[in-house]
Amino acid sequence: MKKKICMTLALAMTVSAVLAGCGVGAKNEGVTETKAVSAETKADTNKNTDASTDANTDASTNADTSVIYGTPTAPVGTFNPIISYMGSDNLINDLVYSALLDMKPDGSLTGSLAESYSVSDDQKTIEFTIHDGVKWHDGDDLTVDDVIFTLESIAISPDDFSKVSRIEGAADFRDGKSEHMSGITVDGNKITIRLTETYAPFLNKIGRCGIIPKHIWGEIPFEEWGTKTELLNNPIGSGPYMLTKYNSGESVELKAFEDYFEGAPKIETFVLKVVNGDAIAAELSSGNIDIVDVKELKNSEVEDLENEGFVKHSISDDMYQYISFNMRMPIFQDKNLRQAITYAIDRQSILDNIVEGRGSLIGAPFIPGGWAEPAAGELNDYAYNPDKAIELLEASGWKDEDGDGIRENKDGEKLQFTLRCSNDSKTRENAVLYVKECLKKVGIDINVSIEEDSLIADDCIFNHNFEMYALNCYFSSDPDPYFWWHSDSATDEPGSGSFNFGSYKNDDVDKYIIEAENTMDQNERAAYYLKVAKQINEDAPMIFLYVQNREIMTNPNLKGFDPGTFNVYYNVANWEMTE
Amino acid sequence: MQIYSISLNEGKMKKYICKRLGIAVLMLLGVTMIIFAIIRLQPGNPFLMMVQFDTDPAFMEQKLQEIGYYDPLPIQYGKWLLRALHFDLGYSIQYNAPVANLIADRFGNTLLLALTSFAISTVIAIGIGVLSALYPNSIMDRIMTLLAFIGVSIPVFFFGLLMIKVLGYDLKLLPFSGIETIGKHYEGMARAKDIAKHLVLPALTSALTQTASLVRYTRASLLETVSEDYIKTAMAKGLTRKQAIIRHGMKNAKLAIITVLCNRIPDLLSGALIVETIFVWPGIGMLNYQAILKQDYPMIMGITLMIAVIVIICNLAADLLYSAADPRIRCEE
Repeated sequence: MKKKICMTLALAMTVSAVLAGCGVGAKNEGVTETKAVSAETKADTNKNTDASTDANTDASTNADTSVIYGTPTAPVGTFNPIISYMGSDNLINDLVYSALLDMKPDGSLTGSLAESYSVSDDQKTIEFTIHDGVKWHDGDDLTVDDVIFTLESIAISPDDFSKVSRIEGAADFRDGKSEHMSGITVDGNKITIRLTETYAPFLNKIGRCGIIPKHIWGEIPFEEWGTKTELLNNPIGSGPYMLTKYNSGESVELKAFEDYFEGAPKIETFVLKVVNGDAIAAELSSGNIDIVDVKELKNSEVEDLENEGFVKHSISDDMYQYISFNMRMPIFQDKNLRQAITYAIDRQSILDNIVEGRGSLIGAPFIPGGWAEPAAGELNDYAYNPDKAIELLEASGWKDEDGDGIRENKDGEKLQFTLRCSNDSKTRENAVLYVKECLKKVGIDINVSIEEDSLIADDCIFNHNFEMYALNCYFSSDPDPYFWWHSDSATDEPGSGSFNFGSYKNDDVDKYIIEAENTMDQNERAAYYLKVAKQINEDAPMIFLYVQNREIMTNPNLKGFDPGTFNVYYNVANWEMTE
Repeated sequence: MQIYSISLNEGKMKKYICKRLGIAVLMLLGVTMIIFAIIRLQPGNPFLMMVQFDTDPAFMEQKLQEIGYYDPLPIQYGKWLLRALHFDLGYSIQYNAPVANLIADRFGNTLLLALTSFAISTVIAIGIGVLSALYPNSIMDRIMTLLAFIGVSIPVFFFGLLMIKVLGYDLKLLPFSGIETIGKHYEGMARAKDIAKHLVLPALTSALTQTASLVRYTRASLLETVSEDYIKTAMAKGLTRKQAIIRHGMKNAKLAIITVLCNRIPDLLSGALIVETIFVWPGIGMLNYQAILKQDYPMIMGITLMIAVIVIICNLAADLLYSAADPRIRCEE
């Protein structure tokens, strides 16, 4: 008996020792505050029925206000904009770091850290004037050295070099032949950058990258940045919010930076909270979060939330869904076949029924609502027309002689393809299944294969091993389609990947894309992009299925929220939480 | 005579433990080797997600070289093993942080959830099992069996979401995500209370399915014991049926119960993935799942190692508990 008691006690003590040693609860990681800070912040939700007990808050300072942003993907803690690649990390980076330029909701650029910028007449030299008196979160001053350090770090980072490749002397700097890039010169608080050739997207690429502090990252060799977990999890930036607590897998807490150069943010606490995708509506309703993306919710759920008083903001999603032909295959060289397939698919019906009307159709790879979008009526909208599809198929010699419902040509080749679809979007899966039905009606047999994302990436992107496949493609914040549509962006050998997956090659499109890169004038670029759009529209190498709306719902007390597709935090320092 | 047999037992016990530990080490090696081979069979590589449209194609090659992706598999495994022996589990590819730290941070949370739901389900299940054995085929027994069936059949995520809706959303009684309230940094007792409040819903959800299946074991095991002859003998000697069952029956049912309980612990500690996901409980389950999706090899191997060690410890503990619980096993060697 005694033995049993002893053993049970021993077991209990071991367990509690392990518990104590492992640490329970959210891991405490925070920057120790070097400056005296105002009163401790308090989470304040509008559903809090004890609001009346906040009697001691001064109405004019909003000192105890907070806003909670819900996201289904947890950040992984790499809070350095040069080496981070997760969207969820960038949600934090965009608050902690400031950049040279800010982006307005319609995609145009305006000054931020650079209070103004000017482009020379030959369009190859840009001069940025940096704000005075900008401070880092740890109290140090931000100088032009930090900006140059950031640009130089981008130059030596293996995956981002192309962003600065056109600066004079960039290649030499990267190869170690010179200490600095010769194209960058400094005069007081003005930085002048000379390019070797005009490159329109440059402003966007450089302007939107967070500036990192040289006094923290300068000492560490670039290859080791990925190992500095402490620094990565506790970033120092010059943006409107500073990180106070990173709870891995759960939330990130930030506090308003009093010395932010554009004025201290009005809302004191910003929290990024990880929520379960299925509980989004419940979390918003209960007041646990104030802002959340509701793209994946059904129409009825969104309406219910609207009826409860939540505000819906609708902007274009940053990606479009498509089906691509493998243009390397001889069978797809026939334009009639490609156009026929496009005519045979009722895309309007997909939009109305599967996407529940919350999106739009496009005919070319330019973001709806952006400045490069072709005007209405310019493109062939390939409205659903199965008769025209059949006409085109028969014109190319595809007839169904043997009555099995599938067309074949004189050589006996059948119109049978495998369409591979990534499994990361139910909506797209449903669309693809519907596409199969549409094509069956015109005598084309499609075998749909829903597969794991990484398998599709491997097989389709790197090994070009597909006939047709369905995936999403991102819009870039600058509309330059070079990396997806220029023939240089296509690779045909297995094992090497780049983003012109279908290997579409057209000389005219190539020409116009390059011309659009060589001018910084937005109107001129738009004219070239219209020509690009028309050619792609005519050639139909890809079926543009739809662009979903990205809907964000917010607490009605949140004022000043004005998101753009590529900048959700536009004007974040001026957001307010009213009572 | 008494003293002599105890030391004999201890000697046998030591030999037994040594033998088991030796087997355990071999098992660890085998398990880690197999898992390593399997995860490397996955198509793709950890950096596919990092590649963007303007990425230099050589970038991925370089990154893969850095993690030794192109070395032959046995060499990669050997390198990992060598570092693991020095307690260095490597760096997580997605988190850029040491694997050991990431696991240690979250393990406590999973442990807390596991122990709580374990305790709840065990107490309830044994209680119900004993009651069913005492009053077999009564109305209460039948109702309990029905509830057990339902409990086993409900998918965990459905029950979890139901709890969120009813207790968290409609009644607003309890918080339903995270482990601590955001923005409030409690200390001491207040912190314990805050965590306890957040623990209720996940623990109940996790306990449900466990209780349901455990009830069936305890009930069956006890019923079997109850019909044994020695119970009748005990009653003949003057004990009431209840006393006979509780005093004698339980002792014999103990073995079966210990087996089941010890089998459940590794399951629990590898993280109730679904419960952790629904309630955003920062534990090992989510960590493991994310690691597998993103092919974060060091993380996967680290967690596998941990789980393998736990399983082995549990088996060993089970054996030790057997010999503690049942003298007959001690002397059989």
